[in-house]
Amino acid sequence: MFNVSAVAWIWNYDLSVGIVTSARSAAVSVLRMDMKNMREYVGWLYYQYLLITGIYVLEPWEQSIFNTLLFTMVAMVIYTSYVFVPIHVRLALEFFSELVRGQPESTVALMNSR
Amino acid sequence: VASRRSPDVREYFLVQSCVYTNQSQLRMKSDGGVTSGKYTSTDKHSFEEAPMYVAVLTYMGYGIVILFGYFRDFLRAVGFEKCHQAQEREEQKDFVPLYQDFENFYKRNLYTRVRDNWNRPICSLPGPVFDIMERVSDDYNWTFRLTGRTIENVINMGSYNYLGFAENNVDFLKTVAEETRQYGVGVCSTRQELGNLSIHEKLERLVAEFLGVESAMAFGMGFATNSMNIPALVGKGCLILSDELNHTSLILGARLSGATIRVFKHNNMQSLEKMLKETICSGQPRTHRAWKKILIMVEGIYSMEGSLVRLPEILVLKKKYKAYLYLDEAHSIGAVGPTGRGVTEHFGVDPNEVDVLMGTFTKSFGAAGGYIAGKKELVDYLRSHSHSAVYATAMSPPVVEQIIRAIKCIMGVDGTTEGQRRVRQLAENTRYLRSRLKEMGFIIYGNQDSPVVPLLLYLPGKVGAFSRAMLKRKIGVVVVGFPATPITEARARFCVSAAHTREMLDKVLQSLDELGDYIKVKFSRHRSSYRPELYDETDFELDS
Repeated sequence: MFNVSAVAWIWNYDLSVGIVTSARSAAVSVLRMDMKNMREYVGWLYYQYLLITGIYVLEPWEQSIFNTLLFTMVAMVIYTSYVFVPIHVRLALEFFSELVRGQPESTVALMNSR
Repeated sequence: VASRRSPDVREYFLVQSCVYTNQSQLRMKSDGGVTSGKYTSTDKHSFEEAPMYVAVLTYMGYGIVILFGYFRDFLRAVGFEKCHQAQEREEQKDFVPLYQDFENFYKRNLYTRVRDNWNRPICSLPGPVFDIMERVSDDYNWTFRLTGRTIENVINMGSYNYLGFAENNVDFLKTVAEETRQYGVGVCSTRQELGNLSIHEKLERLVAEFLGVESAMAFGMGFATNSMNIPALVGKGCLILSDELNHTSLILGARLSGATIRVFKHNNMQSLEKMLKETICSGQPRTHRAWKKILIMVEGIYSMEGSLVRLPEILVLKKKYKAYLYLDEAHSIGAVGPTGRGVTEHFGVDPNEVDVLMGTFTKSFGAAGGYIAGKKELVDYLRSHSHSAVYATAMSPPVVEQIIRAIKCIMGVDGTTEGQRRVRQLAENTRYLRSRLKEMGFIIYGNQDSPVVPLLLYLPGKVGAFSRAMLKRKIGVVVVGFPATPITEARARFCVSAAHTREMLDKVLQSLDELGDYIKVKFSRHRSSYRPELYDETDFELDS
């Protein structure tokens, strides 16, 4: 159990370091390319997305299917987080603050019950 | 001959402590020719690993394309889409199936989508620049049609033209024309019957002299040299220890022979020695008798990795365990070594120590065919017992003369220094290309002296994009993907040639630089920034 969690932590670290380094080198290498305007830059980003997900090799209608599915899932994630995350955060804050406030009372209760 | 008795236990420990772990002890041991002043065990090759997110993205990319492959197969099965592959007739649908649909899954759904990057028709000689016929596909690579135009002066980074002998210069080819006039082109017989021409004998004497061995024999096809001669050398009851990344011809020859095959990790001497010990101790599979012969099969340069074999260490192991060595120098003959004699010269080893020297004429000599060289008894035995020698048609005279003139050129016998100039030019081009590519931040595999340069691309989407973009920039490259390489390590393979000029290499490097940034294939973490003015930011926080 411990090994699995350690490996997962290292993997996450490597992944995040990898993304950070690649983002930084992306910024540097984009400076070296001549991207004249925003439209060209967005086009290049879309091209990178096609290459990385492997969609580049598919026919255009298959690419549209995949893009639709991905967009739908991302939209659902955003909607759910917009609706539910503030409520959950508020409840969690309430729970932890109650715990901190209630701490002296609970230790007294423990000693009395002994 | 292989060990008939179980080897002495003390010998094992002696070898393990001395052989390959410590370079100074390797020299001290030097029993019989393993002096090799140039060789160091601190290797000059590199196999850098990519960051982990690259492996994750590669698998993800393959996963998505496989899912779409299943989807398309479903559409074809249901009938929404026309199936372009071979299918049985309606009346035979209930019979035993002729075409296994699922096995072709990879070919149908992944390879065909990017198929336009392979089998490009070429309409000039494959020199340092060549012409490609333009072809387009209207139905996503199921069928092609030629537009009639040619793409001219494409720089050739894919042909195995190491010394530039694929040329049509009339002065150089004078002797070839003369021999064609004398002998014709077809031989119409096998070597054993009436096909043994005097030019064949001349070639074999010359090859033996070039390599520095007693005798040699030439065959018409390089692949057939391996696959037809290994069954003649080993059989049932023998043991073959073959490297993990050996070529298909070696694997086919080993399987055809019927010997027991064990595979050791690529270029890994610990694995080889462990395997030697285990197999000698346990003997043949069921009877546990001693092996009749043990043959270690390795290649000089591995064409997908660009790595050189560790020849001195293998020779020490071979002598200790009394095994034979079969060295396939398909890519390394003519391409490595100070005078182009191959890996034996590169490591400073006497070629008579290798039992069977095999090579091909296809790569560095610009012809076709292969040879096997070694002791006279070995070659005489092969002349009558090898399938290729007995049944295959003899080599065509103009091809033989091309090989003869190429070897004479390299040896300097024809009176010019052209051959040596080419060998030196190849070494220089190799060093230049490799060092610049490393500087730019690409991941390159292999030994720094090998003219085969694999550049790792990893992601399946980038493989197709890379090849197409390079062709747009008028550079022809070979990209290799899954079945020929491990699934996460797709690559582009460059073959440096002595005929490439510095301008051509510079153009290739500049295109690679731009393309590497545009497609983002510069994965190396060891890159030294050669444009320091862009790196203004520091890695650490400055106290301000």
